Amino acid sequence: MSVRSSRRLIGEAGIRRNLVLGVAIVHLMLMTVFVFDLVERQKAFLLEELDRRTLHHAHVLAVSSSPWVLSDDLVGMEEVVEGSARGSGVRHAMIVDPGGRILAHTDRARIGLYLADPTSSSAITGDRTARVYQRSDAAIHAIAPIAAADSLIGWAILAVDKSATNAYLAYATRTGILYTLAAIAIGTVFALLLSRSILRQLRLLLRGVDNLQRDVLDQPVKVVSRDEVGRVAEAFNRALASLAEGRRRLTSEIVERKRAEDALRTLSRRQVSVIEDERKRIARDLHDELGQALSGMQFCLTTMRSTMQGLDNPLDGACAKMASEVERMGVSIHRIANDLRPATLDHLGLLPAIQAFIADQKPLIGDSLAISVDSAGFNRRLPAEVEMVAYRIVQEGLSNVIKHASASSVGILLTVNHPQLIVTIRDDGVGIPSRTSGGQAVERGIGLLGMEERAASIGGKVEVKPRRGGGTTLRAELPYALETPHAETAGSHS
Amino acid sequence: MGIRLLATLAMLLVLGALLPPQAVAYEPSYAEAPAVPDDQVEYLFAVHPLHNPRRMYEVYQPLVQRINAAAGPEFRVKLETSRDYASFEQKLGRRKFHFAVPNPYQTLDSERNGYRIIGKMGNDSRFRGIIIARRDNALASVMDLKGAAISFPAPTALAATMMPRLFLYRHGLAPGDINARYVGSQDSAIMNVLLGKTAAAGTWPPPWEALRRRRPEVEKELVVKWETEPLVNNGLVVRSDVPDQHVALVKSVLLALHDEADGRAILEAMEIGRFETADTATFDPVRQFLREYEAVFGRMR
Repeated sequence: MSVRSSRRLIGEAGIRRNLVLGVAIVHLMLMTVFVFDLVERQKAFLLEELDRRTLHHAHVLAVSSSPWVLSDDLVGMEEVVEGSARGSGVRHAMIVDPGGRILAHTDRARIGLYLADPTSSSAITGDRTARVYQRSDAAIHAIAPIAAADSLIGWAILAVDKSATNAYLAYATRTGILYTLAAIAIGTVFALLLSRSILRQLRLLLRGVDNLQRDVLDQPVKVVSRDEVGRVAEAFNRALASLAEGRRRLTSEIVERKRAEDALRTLSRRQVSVIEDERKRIARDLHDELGQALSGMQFCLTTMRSTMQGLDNPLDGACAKMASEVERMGVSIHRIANDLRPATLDHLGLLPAIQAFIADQKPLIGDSLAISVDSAGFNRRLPAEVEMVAYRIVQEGLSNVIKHASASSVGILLTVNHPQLIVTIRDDGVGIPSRTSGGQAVERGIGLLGMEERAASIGGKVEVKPRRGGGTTLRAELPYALETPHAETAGSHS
Repeated sequence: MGIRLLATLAMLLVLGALLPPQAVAYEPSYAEAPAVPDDQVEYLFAVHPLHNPRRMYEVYQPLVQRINAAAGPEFRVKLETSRDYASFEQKLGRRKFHFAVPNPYQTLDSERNGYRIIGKMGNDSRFRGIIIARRDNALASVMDLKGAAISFPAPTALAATMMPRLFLYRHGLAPGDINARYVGSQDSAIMNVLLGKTAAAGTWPPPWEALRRRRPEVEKELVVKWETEPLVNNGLVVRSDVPDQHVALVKSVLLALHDEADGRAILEAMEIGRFETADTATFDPVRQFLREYEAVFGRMR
């Protein structure tokens, strides 16, 4: 996941959006409930107050108009009605007789007419009590009986305009909405500031994680807050420091181990080289010294027999026998010298040396084991050290097959896979025994250990594993492009 | 998910809060005629303003209800009061009332407007003027009122104004010796004295006694200083176009009031004992009084 996408997901798209939206919505809900409740309460209070005022007004009109109604003084009633309509938002006021005939009205054109709507008719035929008989959007309509001596002599009807109340309620609602918007804005700003402080530390943490991914362990996260996120950053820094220290120790150990391994490999290579050199010297000495000595002895014996030819010397037989022994000793010395250091390897290369070795084994194995060598494409000389290690591995591997595998065939495959020489020996024998199954296994284990050490001396490795269907595969990977001065020197030999 | 649920709830809440309430529109409507036609004959019954209109209604509405009970569906009577003597006389002059109980002066005056006298209130001995003053006003004689303000209901109030004024004249106070203030009603005349705005008030016994019953404390402040001689009590007149059978029914109800307990209760509230049959000759003493009064104070009309 990219840094930007994770930042968007965790930071901007997550915490900030949720925090801002949550705060805004909670403010909206709370303020809506608060404003709605406040406005409703005010509305109820104001309308109740308006009801009460209208009712009182109607009652006053009824009382003040009663003498005029009793006197049927229309002018007096008109004055009272007009007086009651002054101020207080009275839309209309009227005095009607019990039958609904209008005796006085703020609109003089209505005088003499009759109330005709069902609501008014119902009001003047209802209980003889002052009451609000209709609440419309525009006005409160109240009615009060005009009575004298327990007799109903008329009704005072009044309608008080609600526009002032409605306007005030609209103002209160608008103010409430403004307060709501202001609360949402303040809450949102607060949420933004809060999210900014939280996200700043988170961004720094994310940057630290990115550095960790890039393997940068020496740049701790800057701690800018003292809250939980800040403590997480501090913990991250502690973990980062611990990781850096562990890594430093590990690197140091690896370097030491590598140095030790290099030293070991160098030592092993030197040991092999010394052994090989010693073998080479012994082989040369055997060839040069003993060989020459035996050749001299052979020449002397031949000379002695030639001298004694025809003399019927009894020492002739002994000389002949001695000459035969000397010849046999020469052959043995030649074979031992060749085993110690095959001259073919030095002079002709790996493949001829292997073929010579196989040829040497033929008399021993006869036709019981078919040996094949596949070296297609392998026609070059390799550094002498590599050729020697490869030869010794083939020599040891093939000897193991001959001695222990009871195989009917074995195949040797030489492949160059730059920069490695791959030596593979496959047989169809009984396979490798476990490492704990007796002295034969111990012997093979020692031989394998020797191969591994030889391979390791030039930076290679040897792997032995059973084949599917029976048999064993030995595979050695031997780097020939050695970086060591010794290898370069060896390469220059070829 | 949480944010979405919260946002949905908030939206529903806001929508619910913003939904307008159901609109209610109402304005009363008017018609030329009543929804249920009223064909019953209605007669207006009026009494000259002995009290304020509300008190008048309390006193005389039971009488009207008794007449209506007797009349049944044939006709009905509606009581109409007047705020003052002037308006009463104006309505009487315009023949607005079908039946009326004017004072004796107005009774005689109504005859000129097409009314005829069919009866009168009884207990003529109670129809006299009284002059009331504050107890703390040391009035030894009528002459002590010389130059003082005296409140009267109206110039044409016979018992309460005319009879006291003639009484004062007969006892030495010329018309210009007092400051006569006409305050509209009997109660108002008395209240003027109580509040010290006038030195004395002219009235007659029924309103004074009614006030004493309603507000007994006034007797501690006020006292009747002088009484006039009695005269014929208030008349009962009927407009000439009222059918005789209806006149007879109303008259019979009024003349029979004193025969029954509830009728006597009605009469008691009126401060009279009964209604009596009367005609124009019954009011001759009033005519005599008026001649004397007009000789002193000038013609009333």
